[in-house]
Amino acid sequence: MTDTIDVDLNPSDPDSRKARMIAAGGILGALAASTCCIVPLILFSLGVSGAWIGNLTALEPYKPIFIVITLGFLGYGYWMVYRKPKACAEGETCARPLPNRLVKTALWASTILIVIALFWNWIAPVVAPILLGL
Amino acid sequence: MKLHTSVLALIGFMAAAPVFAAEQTVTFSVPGMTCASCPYIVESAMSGVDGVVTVNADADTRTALVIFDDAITNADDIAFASTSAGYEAVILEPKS
Repeated sequence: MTDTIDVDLNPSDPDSRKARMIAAGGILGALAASTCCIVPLILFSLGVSGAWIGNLTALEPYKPIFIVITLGFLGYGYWMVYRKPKACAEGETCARPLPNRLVKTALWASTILIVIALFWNWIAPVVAPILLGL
Repeated sequence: MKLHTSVLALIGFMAAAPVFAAEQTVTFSVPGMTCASCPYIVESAMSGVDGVVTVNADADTRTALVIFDDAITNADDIAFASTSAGYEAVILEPKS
């Protein structure tokens, strides 16, 4: 609690650290869930292609697992940021709002990503022809 | 007389044209086409080959139906284009 190297991010506060870990988990999970399907399309439309893209597509069977993990992270993250009653230890830690902007941004970004991944089957037929100019 | 021969030549040319520029239909098996956006990538990759007229990729059957001008390209080149984009394509049934 006396660690003041990085006051802004408050690394010593266990709740804040946890929230960042959860947010990072959400981001990684959302990226993993979009690797199989969204990433190849974006890469291809940017002109990046190669036989290795097939490896990304091979992740498709694991997509539901990644989605579930991500939703778990996000649910817990949102609960921590917006819902959790703050335990005030001597009015010190709760003086600063727990969710910093980084965590909130990460949560919302991964939410958007996971929603796109979830509804990709409906989004792709609309987006793909536009991106690829078909 | 002169007109006659040129008209004859024209008719002969029109009759012979389909033989020179034969459109071939080939079905490819693309097993990696598992996701919603995959067929679009396959279509785009295959359409990029000169001589390809239409590509119809279907994610449900994991196949791509390609109509191309066999005077300009061939099925192997089209399969290679898809493979190098990350979606291995194998020739299933060539029809003439």
